Formats: sequence, structure tokens, C-alpha cells
Amino acid sequence: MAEELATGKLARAGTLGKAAARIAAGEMGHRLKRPFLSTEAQQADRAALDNANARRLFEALSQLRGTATKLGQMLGMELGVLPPAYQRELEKSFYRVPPLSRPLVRKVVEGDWGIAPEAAFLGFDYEAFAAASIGQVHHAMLTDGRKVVVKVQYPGVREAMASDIALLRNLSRPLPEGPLLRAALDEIEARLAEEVDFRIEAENTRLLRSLITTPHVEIPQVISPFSTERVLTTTLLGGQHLDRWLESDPPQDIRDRAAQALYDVFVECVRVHGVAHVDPNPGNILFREDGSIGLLDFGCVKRFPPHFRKAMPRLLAAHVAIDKEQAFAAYAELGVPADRLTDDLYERFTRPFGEWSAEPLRHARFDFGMGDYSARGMPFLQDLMRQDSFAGAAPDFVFFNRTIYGLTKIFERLGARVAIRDRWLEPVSAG
Amino acid sequence: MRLSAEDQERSRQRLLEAGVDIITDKGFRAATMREIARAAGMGEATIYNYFPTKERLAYAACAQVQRQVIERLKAYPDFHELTLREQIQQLIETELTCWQGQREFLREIFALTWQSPFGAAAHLSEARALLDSIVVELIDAAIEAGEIPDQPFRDIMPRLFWDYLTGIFAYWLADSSDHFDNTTRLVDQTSAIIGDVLQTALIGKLTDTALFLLRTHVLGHFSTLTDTGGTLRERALKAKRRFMERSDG
Repeated sequence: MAEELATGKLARAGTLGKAAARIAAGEMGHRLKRPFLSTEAQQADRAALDNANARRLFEALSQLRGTATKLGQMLGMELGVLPPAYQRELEKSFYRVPPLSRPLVRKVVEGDWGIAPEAAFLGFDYEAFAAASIGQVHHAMLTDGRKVVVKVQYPGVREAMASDIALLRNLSRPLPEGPLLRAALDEIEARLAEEVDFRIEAENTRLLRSLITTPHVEIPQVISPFSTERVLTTTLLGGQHLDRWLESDPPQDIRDRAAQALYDVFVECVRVHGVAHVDPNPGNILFREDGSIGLLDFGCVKRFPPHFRKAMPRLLAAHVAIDKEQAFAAYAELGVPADRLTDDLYERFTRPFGEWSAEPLRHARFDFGMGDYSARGMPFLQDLMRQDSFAGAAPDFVFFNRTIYGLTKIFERLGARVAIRDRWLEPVSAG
Repeated sequence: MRLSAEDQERSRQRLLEAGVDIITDKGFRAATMREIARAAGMGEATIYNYFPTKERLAYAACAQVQRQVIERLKAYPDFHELTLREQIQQLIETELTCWQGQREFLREIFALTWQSPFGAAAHLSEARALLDSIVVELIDAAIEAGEIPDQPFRDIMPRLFWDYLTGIFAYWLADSSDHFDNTTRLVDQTSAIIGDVLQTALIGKLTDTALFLLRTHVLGHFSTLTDTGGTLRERALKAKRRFMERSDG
């Protein structure tokens, strides 16, 4: 079925407005039915609703083809806030920006640098070798012979952003996850604003490159004169993306090393520096033969405040000990309001979620090769995210859990054994 | 005092620049030849040696910009390696770049041509001829290279392109987005469409289809229309007979 591309705010509002109306109507139907359904039937009904909602939501999003889809990705990217049905739809609705034609590449570069790309480099390949979320990437070579990657942004991305976020906010109103979604949306809006200014990504990259000490991790170097608002130039990292790398069937110890490096750099970033790369998806990681990794794409960086960094290890320890007082103390530190910390909350959500979270911490190394750890965690995380209770701690929590989830999925693909316990808990002294 | 050809050319340039400045500043109506002459450091009588009317001066400035566009395109490295769609896009982008510094002047031209379209058509002929030459060259080169099929309406292409460019300019003049990003996107998307239209010789196919329909279903029935009485009555009788037969059976 050929769809006309909706351009212009009214058309876009129409598309999303209709989707919101349909979702709301569906939700109303569910709410009316609910008292008359048994629990299983309720759940099934809920699941069916989620599927229908998800489909409607993402049909609308994919028609818009703008930052709405990117937002959808960030919101739901595997978990965080949305149920599995939404997630699946999200994975289908890929963010797509039209490719930049050669005149357009030239125009954007010249606009930022005052000179054409071929004048700035020894060589510049006008054919992009990969798409980026809001542009594309080209190979080039500096006059000193170093190979670099030049990311060029599609013009007009920022124009669409503000209105898309506003529309998504409206869309989230009828959803039960609404309040949490909107809290997350605020955070995401700030981050998206960062993403369209490549100077911020350049700054993030420089910062992380200077801070990170975890071994076997490489961060690209920013080439400053050629890093501007819409064009970012960094050194080229070697390595392969996950799928390709796995085809070469790397040995277990190499997989373990890569997974450990990935995990350790995340912990270092959160606990030590308070600033982390929160989008560790296979598209942003390069794997090498020696088990070292390269990290890419620092447009999306999250800062964790000190109270979070202190509370997180305490929360994990509480989950290991299945200690309600400790867990609630940590929640309080994280910003969850006191009146939400009820026994009911603990029994229905905190405890099961905590048990799942604590699993990897019960071993010196946890074997993700068993493959179902992340899948088992989904329902807990989903339910937890629906709780209004966490709205106060939402952004930090959403992103932290999202990152962890993303990492565990990668570990499962790698079938790796990762030491997690001693990265968070104080060693228990004997006697 | 007789001026050399060089000096004359320089004077002409000064007048054009002054003209653009004053017209941008005061608006076309309010600007006077005297002011323009003065700004160019010339006597009022002299200006009429170069431009008999204000309109002529304004349109000559347009032709000037068009020449700049051609110069820039010639200086573009490997222009011939771009696809036709990209060349069209680059042409439009170059137009916008060249007009960038005189956007408000362009606005005055639009107002002027709106008021007197026939006059404009005559006087803008120079600018238009310059643009036409580019367009024809691009399309011919693409046909020769086998990139697009021979276009049956090749001769009207320049005219269509002029209209397209006018549309883009109009949009650009109303564009308030950052860096005129909206115009950039519009050009990006429409140049792709035009590329496709030329690639598939769509204009020809559309007109062929229209002609086919016209010939087959309209023109062919003129005889029927004039002879309504006889033929229609015959048909009605036939239909009645058939109906009667069916109800009997």
C-alpha cells in the first residue's frame, strides 16, 4: 500500500493525532472490559492491546520518517519503558533519513567549513559507506595520511525535532506508561538536541577518550578543525560489528575478553566518571581479533549524578541480600518518594526484579551463554517501568537499565562469561 | 570624454551594484535613477547611456547573477561526473548561493514581475536565455551519455525548468527556517522527482496516454454525437428486444 509521505506539521499532527485517537479508543475498550475478565484473560487482552497499540503507534511513526521514529527507538530501544510488542514494532520501524546526494554533502560541508571536502582532505570519498542516524558517513584521508571518518548531517533534521517530540508527548497521554514516558521524553529531548549538534558529540568523544582507562577499549580521536555543528571528523577504528565478527567464530577467551571490556568500561563510566555511553548496541561497537573493542557514536551520552552512583551499588547489594529495608533505603536515595515505598510495591515488583538483577552477582563470573537471562528479565523490567512510583527516579533508572539490558543481550550473543559481582560489591572479608 | 571598453564595463558594474543596493533599500518604486547614478558616482544623464529604464537595470542585474551561476558551475570540479539529478540539484543550489547576498533584491524583482508579467517576460529574456542554455546543455549531455532516454518534449524543458526555479525562489523567499534548511530539503526532494521524471520520460508517457484517451474515446465519438437520433433509438430498440426475450425465457 503506497503511503504519501506526510510533510508539514498539520499533516504530521493528523497522522499522530489519528493514531492517538485510535490508541485511546482501544485503551478505553480495554478498561471497560477489565472488571469482567479473569486475570489471564486480562493479561491476554492487555497483550493483544499492546500489540494493536504498538502497531498503530509505529505505523504512525514510520510514516513520519522523521525524528519521531528516532525517538521511538530511544524510548523503547529494547526495553526501558515499553512492552515487548512496542519493541518489536520499533525494531521494524527503522529511522531513515534520505541519503545525501553529492551536491548536498558538499553544501553541508562547505556551509560549515567554508571549503569543499576535497579541498580539506588528501582524499574524500563522496560515496558514503554507511548511514548514520541523522546523516551518513564517508571515508577520507588527512594530509598526514591518517584515515578518518567524516559524518555529515542531513539538513533540516533539527527543524522536525521539536514538533515531533511535542506530538509524541500528546501520543503518550492515553497510555498507562504515560507519566514515565513523558519524564523520559524530557530527558530524550535534551539528548536529541545534543545529537543534532555534532560539536557536543565531539566534546563527549574527547572527554571519554581522555577519561577512560579500562584496558582493551579504544575511543576515536576527534579531528578538531574538521568537527563542526553538522560535520564530525574522527579517526577510523578497525574492527568488525558483532554479526560479522561472530562469523569468524572467535574463541571463548577472546569473546570473554571483549564482553568484559565492554562491561568494565560501562561500570567505569557510571561509577567513576558519572558519564556513560548509553547506547551500546551492536551498531556502536567494533570487535577485534585480539578481543579488544572500539566504541563509536558518542552523540548519546548520559550523565549520572553522584547520588545515583552511590545508591546503585547499595541497591544491588540489597537485591543480593533480599533485604527490603536496604532496598528501600537505596530507592529513597535514588529519588523515589517515601510514600511509594510500600510492602505491596516490594512484594509485587521490587523483590522479583531484585532477584533477577542479583542473579549475575551471585557468581564470580556469570555465564550469559545460557541465553535466557535477558528474556526472563523483560516482564519484570516492563512492570517496574510502568510504576508511577519511579517517575521521580525515572530518567537515570530508565537509561541505566536500558544500558544493562542492551549489554546483556550482547553478552548472550557472545555467549560470554563476565565478572560482574566484584565490579559492584565490596569483597566479603573472611571470618 | 570617451571611455575605454574596460572603463565602460566597470561603470556598468558599478551601476548594477548601486542599483541592487538602492532598490533593496528603498524598494523598486521608490528608487530613482538619479539616486542610483549618484551612488555609482555618475551623472544622471550618463546612467541612461547604460540603462534606458529602471526595469532594464533591474533585469540586467538578474542576468548578471545568472552569469555568475554559469561561472561557478564551470569551476565545479568533475561536474560532468554527477548524475543528472545531482546536476540539477547543484544548479539550483548554485542559484541560491549566488542570490544569497541579494535575497531582498530578488524579492523586489518578484514583486515587480508580478505587477507587470508581460514586461518582465520580455526583459528577463536575457537571464532566461542564460538559464535555458544551461538546462539544454545538461539534458542533451544526459541523453547523449545514455543516462536518460530521448525526451519527446525536450524543447519545453527549459520553460518547465524556469517555472520550477521560480517556484523554488518563491519558497526560499518565504523560508524562515535555520540555514534555509526547508528550502534545501525541498530542492533535494524535488530534484529527485525531476530526475525520475526525466529518467522515465514520464512527461512523454503522460501526454501519450492523454492523447490516446482523447483520440480513442472522445474524438472517435463525434459522429455519434451528431447522429444521436438514429443510433441511440436503434440501440434502445435492441435493448428492449433483448429484455423481452429474457423475460419470456
